[in-house]
Amino acid sequence: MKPESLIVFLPLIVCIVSTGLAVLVPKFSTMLRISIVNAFIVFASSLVLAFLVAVHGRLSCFGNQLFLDHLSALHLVLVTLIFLVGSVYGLWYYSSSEQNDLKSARASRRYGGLWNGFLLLLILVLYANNLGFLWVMVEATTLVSALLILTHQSAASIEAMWKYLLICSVGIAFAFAGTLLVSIAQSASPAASQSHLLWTSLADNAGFLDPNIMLVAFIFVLVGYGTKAGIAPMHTWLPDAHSQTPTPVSAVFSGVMLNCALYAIIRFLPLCEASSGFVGKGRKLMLALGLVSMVIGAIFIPTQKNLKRFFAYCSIEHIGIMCIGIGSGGIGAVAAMLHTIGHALSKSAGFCATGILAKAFGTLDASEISGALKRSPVGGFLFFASILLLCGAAPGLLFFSEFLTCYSLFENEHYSALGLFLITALIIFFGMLWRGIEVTFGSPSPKSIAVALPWFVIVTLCSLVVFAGFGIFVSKPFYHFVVDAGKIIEHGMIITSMRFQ
Amino acid sequence: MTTNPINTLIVLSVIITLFMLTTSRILVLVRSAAILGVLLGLFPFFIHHGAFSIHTIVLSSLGIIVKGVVIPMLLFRAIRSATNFRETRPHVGFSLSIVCGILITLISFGIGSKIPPSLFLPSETMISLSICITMCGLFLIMARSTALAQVIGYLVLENGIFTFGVSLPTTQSLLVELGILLDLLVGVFVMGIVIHQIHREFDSISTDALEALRE
Amino acid sequence: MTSLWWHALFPFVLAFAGAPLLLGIIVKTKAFFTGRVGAPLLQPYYDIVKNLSKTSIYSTTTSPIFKLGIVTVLAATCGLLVLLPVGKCGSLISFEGDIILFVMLLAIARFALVLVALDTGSAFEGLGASRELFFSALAEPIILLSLVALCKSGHIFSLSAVCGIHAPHPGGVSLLIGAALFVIVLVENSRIPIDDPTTHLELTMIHEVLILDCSGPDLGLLEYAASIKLWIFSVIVAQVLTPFHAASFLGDLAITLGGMVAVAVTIGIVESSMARLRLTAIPQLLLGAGALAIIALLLVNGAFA
Repeated sequence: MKPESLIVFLPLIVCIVSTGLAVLVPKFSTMLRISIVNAFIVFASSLVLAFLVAVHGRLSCFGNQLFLDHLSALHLVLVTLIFLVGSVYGLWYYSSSEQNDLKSARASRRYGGLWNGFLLLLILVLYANNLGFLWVMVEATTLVSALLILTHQSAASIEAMWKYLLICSVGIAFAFAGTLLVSIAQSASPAASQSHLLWTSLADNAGFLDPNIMLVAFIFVLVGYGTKAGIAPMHTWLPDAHSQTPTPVSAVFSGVMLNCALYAIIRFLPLCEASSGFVGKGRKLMLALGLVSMVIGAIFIPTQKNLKRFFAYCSIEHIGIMCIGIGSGGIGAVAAMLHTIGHALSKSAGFCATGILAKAFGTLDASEISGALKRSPVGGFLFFASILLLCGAAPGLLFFSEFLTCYSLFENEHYSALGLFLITALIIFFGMLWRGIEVTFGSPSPKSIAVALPWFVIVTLCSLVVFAGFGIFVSKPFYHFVVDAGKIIEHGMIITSMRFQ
Repeated sequence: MTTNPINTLIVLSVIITLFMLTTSRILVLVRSAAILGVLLGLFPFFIHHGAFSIHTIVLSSLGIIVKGVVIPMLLFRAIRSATNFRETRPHVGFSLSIVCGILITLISFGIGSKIPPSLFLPSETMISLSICITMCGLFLIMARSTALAQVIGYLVLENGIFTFGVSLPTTQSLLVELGILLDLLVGVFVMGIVIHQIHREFDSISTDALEALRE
Repeated sequence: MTSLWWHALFPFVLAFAGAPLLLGIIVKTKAFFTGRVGAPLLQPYYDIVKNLSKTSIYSTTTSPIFKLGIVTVLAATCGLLVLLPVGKCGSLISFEGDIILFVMLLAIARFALVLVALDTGSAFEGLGASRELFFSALAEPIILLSLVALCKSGHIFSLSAVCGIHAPHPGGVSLLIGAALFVIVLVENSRIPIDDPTTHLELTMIHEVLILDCSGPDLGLLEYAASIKLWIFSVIVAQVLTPFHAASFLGDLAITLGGMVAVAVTIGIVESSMARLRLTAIPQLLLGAGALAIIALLLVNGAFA
C-alpha cells in the first residue's frame, strides 16, 4: 500500500474510531473533546490530500470506487474546516448552556455518534465515485442530520425535523430516479464500459450518452438533490431546520451540508452538458432556479425577525448565487467555487456569532436585541462582520466571487439575468445591513448579560472572518486550484490519473 | 400470453393506488400499501418472461418480504404508539382526491405513450405505471394531514420509482431494488421514531398541529 | 352473428312480460337472508294490476305536464327496449351511434319523471328531484364511458358491442366494466346503498319520493317503467359479465336470462348486507366506479402493452 492511499483512508478510519469512542464515552465534555481531535486530524489530512491532488491530478483508490479530484478536494477541505470550527465552538456552546437535557449520558452518546457519523458520511459523499454510492451516502446524511435536529426536543424542533425529513426524503427519491436514468443512459451507449455508474468513466465517455435521457436525468437530479441543497422552490424546509437546531449544527448545515448537496448536482452537470454537445440546457435550468432562489431571498430576508431564520434565508440566496454562477458557465463556475468557500466561512462565523448573541441577550428575536457591540464586543463584531461579508462587501471573498459571477453573466450575454441578480442583491443588501445595524449598534438592551468567550473560540472565529474578509488577495496556487475545480464543473476535465492500491 | 398477467398486475396496482386516495382510515392505508408492495414485487417474475433464475427469485422475495411484512410491522408499531389516534379530515376531500387520481392516471398514461420506445428504457406501460404511482404518492403526502398517512404516501412514492427500475435488465434492477429497499426500510424506521416523538410532544399525530413555524 | 329480424322480437316481448319478475326475485332474496318467506314472486304484478284498476287523483297544482310526463317516462323506457340487444337475437333497431340515443332516452325518462315530481309543487318531491338529478349527473358520464369502452373493444360503435367482447383483454375489460355498470345499476334503480326502496321516511327517499303523489294507473305505469329499467340494466350487466355464448339464439337467450337472475340475486344480497350510504359518500362511490370505467377504457385503448 502506498503512503498516499493511506492518507486517503486516514480520515475515514479516524472518523469511524472517534464515532465509536463518542458513542462509548458517557461524559458530554469528553465527547466534545474527542470530536475536536477527530475534526482536527481529518482537517489536516484533507489539506495533505488537497496538496497531493494539486500535484498529481486525480487520485483514485479502492478499485476506482473512491476518488478525489480538485472539485472534491476543495469541498473536502471546506467540510473538514467547518466541522472543526463547529466542534471547537460546540465545546464552549454546550458547556455554558443551562439546558440539562444534553448532560445525560444517553443524550451525549447520541449526539456524539450523530455528529461524528455525520462527518464520516459527508466525507464519503465527497469520496464517492459510484453515483449509486453517492446517493446512498446523501440519503444517510439526510437521516443522520434529521436526528441531529432533534437535539433539543421541543414542539418547534419536532416540526422542523418532520418537515425536513419528509421533504428531503421525497427529494432524495427523485434523485434516485435521476441516478437510475443515468444508469440507463450508460447502458444504452455503445461505448459502455465495464465500470457501471462510475463518474470517472461516465465523464470520459460522456459524448456517447443519450442526450435526451441525460437531460431528463439531470432535471430529476436537480430537483432531487436541489431539495437538499436548499434551491428554491424546494427550500421550504430550510428556514425551520436551520433555526431549530443548536448553533454548531446550524453552522454545519449551512456551511457544509448544502454545499455537499450542490456538489452532487455539479457532478451530474458536466455529464449532461457533454452528452448534448455543450448546448447548455442543463445550465439554463440551474441559472433559472438560481434566480428564483435569489428572488425568494430578496422577499423573505428583510422581514425576518428571528436571527437564525435570517441567516437561513441568506443561505438560500447564496446557494442561488452559486447556481447562477454555475449556470452561466465559463468564469462563472470558478466564481461559484470561490463563493462556496467564502459563504461557508462567513456563514459559519455568522451562525456562531448568533449563538453568542443568543447567550448574551437570551433571545434570538432581533427586535429585542440591540447594542450587541457594546454588550459583547466579540459577538457583535463577528455578527456585523459576517453580515458585511455576506452582503458582498469588499475586500471580502464573496465580493470577489459575486463580481466574477456578474462578469460571467455579462460575458455570456445573460443580460436580464444580470439585471435581476443586481436588483435582488441590492434588496438583500439593504435588508441585511439594516438588520445588522439595528442589532449591533445602539445601547445595549437591559436584560443582557456579558458573555465570556474562551480564547480558542475567539481565535477560530476571527480567523474565519479574516480569511473570508481578505479574499481579494488570494494566492496564486490557491486560485489555480479553484480554477481547476471550475474546469471540472465545465467539462468533467480529464486529467491523467495516478492509480493507487 | 405473458402479457396478460402483467396487464392484470398493472390494472390491480392502479386500482389499489386509486383506492388509497379515497380512504383516510390508517389501517386500510397500511394494508393497501402492503398489498401494492407485494403486487409490485411479483413483477420481476412476469417481466423477465417467467425466468425463474436465482436472481429473480431472491429479488422478488426480498421485495415482497420487506414491503409486505417488515414495513407494515414497523408502521403498525408506530400506530400502536400513538395511543389516542384519531382520524383527521384530510386537506383534500375524498371526491376531489379521486378526481385528481383519475387525472393523474390519464396524464401518466398520456405521457407514457409519448415516450419513444427504446431498447434500454422500460416498456411504455411500465413508465406510465411508475409515473402514476409516484404522482399518487406525492398527492397522498400533500393531501393528508396525519403524519402516518404522509409516511404511507412516501412509501407509495418509493414504490413508484421502484416500478420504473423493475423492468430493466437484471444488473440494473439489482441496483434499483436494493437501493429502494434500503431507502424504504431505513426511512420508515426513522419516521416511525419521529412519529413517536410527535405523538409524545403534541398528543396527536395530526400535522395540522405542526404549524408554529409558518411565515 | 347471423340473426333473423324476428329473433329480436323474443326478448322484446319477454321484457314486457317478465320485467316485474326481477323485482320479485330481489324481494325474495332479501326475505331469504332475513329468514322470512317473503312476498310471492309475482307480487309486483299484483301491485301493478291493483294500481291500474284504481282511479288517479290529481292535485290541483298539477298541469297537463303531469299526465304527459308519466306517459313520456314509460314511452322513453320502452324505447330503450327497442335498442337493447340480447345475445344472438340482436336488437329491434340498431345503427351506428345508438349508444348516444340510449343515453339520451335515459335522460329523457329521468327528466320527465323529475318534471312530474316538480309539477306537484311539494317540497318533498323537490328534495328528491335535486338528489336524483345530482346522482344521475354523475352516473351519466360513467354509463357513457363504459359503453364507449365496450364499443371500442367490440370494434363497433353501437350497443350491439355489448353482446360480444372481443380481444384484447376480454377478461379484464369485462370485469372492470361489469363492476362499474353494477354500481350504475344500483344508482339508476335506486337500490341500497344509494336509496332504500322500502323506506317510509320521505326525507331519506330519492326515487320513491318522486312518485309520492302519483296514484292509480299513473303509479302503476311508473312502477312498471321502473321495472323495465331494471330489466334493461340487468341485461347489459349480465351480457358484459357472461363470457360464453351458446350456439343457437335460444340458448344464448337462456344464458342471458340466467345471468339476469344472477344479477337480481346479487342486488338482493347487496341490499341485505349493506346499509345505506350517507348522501355525501355516494359521489365518492360513483367516482370510484368512474375510475374503474376509465381504467377499462385505457385497457381497451392499448395503453397497457
